[in-house]
Amino acid sequence: MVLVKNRTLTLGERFYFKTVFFGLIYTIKNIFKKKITRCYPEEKLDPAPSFHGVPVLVADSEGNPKCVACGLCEFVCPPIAITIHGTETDRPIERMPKRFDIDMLRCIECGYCEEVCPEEAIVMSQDYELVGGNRHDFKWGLDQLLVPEAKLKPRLEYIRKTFHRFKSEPRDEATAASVPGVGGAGRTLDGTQVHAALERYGDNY
Amino acid sequence: MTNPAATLTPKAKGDLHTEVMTLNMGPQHPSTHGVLQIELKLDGETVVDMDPVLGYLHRGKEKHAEHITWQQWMVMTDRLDYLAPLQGEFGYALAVEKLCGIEVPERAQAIRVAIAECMRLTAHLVWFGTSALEVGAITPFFLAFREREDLFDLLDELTGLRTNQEFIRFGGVKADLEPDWVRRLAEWAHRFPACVDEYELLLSGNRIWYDRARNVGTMDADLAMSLGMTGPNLRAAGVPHDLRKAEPYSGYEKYDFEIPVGTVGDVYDRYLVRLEEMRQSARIIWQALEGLPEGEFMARDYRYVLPPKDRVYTSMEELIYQFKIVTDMRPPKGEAYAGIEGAKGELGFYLVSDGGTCSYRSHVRAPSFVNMMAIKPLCLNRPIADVVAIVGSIDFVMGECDR
Repeated sequence: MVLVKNRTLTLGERFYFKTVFFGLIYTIKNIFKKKITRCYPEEKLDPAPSFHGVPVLVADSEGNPKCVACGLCEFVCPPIAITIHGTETDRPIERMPKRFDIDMLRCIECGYCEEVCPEEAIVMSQDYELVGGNRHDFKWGLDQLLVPEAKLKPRLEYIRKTFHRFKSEPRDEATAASVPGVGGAGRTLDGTQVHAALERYGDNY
Repeated sequence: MTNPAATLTPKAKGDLHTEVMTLNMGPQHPSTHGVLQIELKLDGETVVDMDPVLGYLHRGKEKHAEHITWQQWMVMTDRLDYLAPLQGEFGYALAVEKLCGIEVPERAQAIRVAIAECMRLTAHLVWFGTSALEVGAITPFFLAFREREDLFDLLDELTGLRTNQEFIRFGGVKADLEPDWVRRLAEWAHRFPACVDEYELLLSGNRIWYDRARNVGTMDADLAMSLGMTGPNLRAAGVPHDLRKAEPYSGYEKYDFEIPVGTVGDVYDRYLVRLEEMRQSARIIWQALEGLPEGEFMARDYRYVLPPKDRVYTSMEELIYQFKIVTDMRPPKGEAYAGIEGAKGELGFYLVSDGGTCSYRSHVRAPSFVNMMAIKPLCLNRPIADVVAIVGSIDFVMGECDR
């Protein structure tokens, strides 16, 4: 516990001398200091990989969405910004979104969708400039949301590092590296894998 | 002390017909800290009665908690006190962890303490800038926002968002701190007390600020306690109560810091107490960062913590539990209360669980709401200009009042 001091004004302060002169000197000194503001539209921000811009969908090398329309991001989205209509496809992932809409006016860019996505299919981009003339412009469909994977490299690496979560557990480098390409390629229900998982987590599950 | 209001009432009251005037201050008034409406009854310039009208920012957050999952409500707690969003998450996470019995690793606790103190600084900086602005000093506003911007740049790099960061998870935090980031925040925290000295140099001896603040809105300890006030307002009234010392949570007992206590309990004392609190917060930040324990930043509790993402991509078990925890996280039946020392006072979360995926009932003990009740006893029989100074010094955020 520390008592804050109970001060009274000095004579110079009472006659505004100190206040006025100190204020003037302070202002003049600040004129010559380096500017701390940014001329925004000319000087753009350079966001770090951790930056949460608008969420986008990752497209694989053929331009198809990696999304399998599982609906987990739709479920977890707190402001209910995501709408997914799934359909079947002949590709090995078997399912894909027929419609994938994000209402950017509802989106709060919390990043929960990216955190829960089991396919690395939706990530937060570096894009922070949302402009539109009317409300309809902010309902982004698949055509606007799909971004080639090559453009999202820094963010994907950040996700793989951060969402591993446990430093003492080794990262599954080999299998994580196999994820880009065709989703679900490495996903086989192998008896040894199940056994290993049960051993790792024991009765906690 | 003479009551300045007595000199302001019309002298010729006996001859002249005067009546009490009703004046609506707000909800669009710039000095009401959001959308607060105050119905003032004025006799000349003197406030004879006043009534705060709440509810302009009511969003039904507590009711909303009964319809969305536990994790989803985390984003709502950010938007309670939007000047210190991570403190809302912090208090809510503590309550849920108490309910579920999750043990948070020490490293996560230290990270939470550091960022919660950063939030106290940003909230106090906004308070400092705006309350000085309201009584006519414009320079402190720019200075306070300069430091706040530095802090937000750092937090932006860590969490990805400037405000309303979604950073705290049940059982820990979202991401680990990089050594480079820790070094930069520690450097900033070492530099910051000099900035507070600069603020004090500009404002403490300024006669205009002194006259507007000294002996205005004086609150003694009895009044503050009977109103249930907490936080800097209570401490300025002379009661050394701080939850960080009284009921340490998240490892606060390990840090060495002082509680500033006022002697008079007026607007000027609340200003001094908050400035001193900023220095102490900077101290806590660098203590937390220097003694940052090694280890995990997330609890290894697989009932409530999402499994490692790289295994989710490849292993069936983890995939199933990723889905299960997101859609079907069910804390055990029971109730829990956890309070933290927020920037405005005791920020508490009371949660009742019936074992479902949503809370059965949630309640927020919002310090802004309780502290606001003090403005009426403090403003009565004061000139109307003092209302602005008093409302500014009580420091509430309407997002938290109305919820």
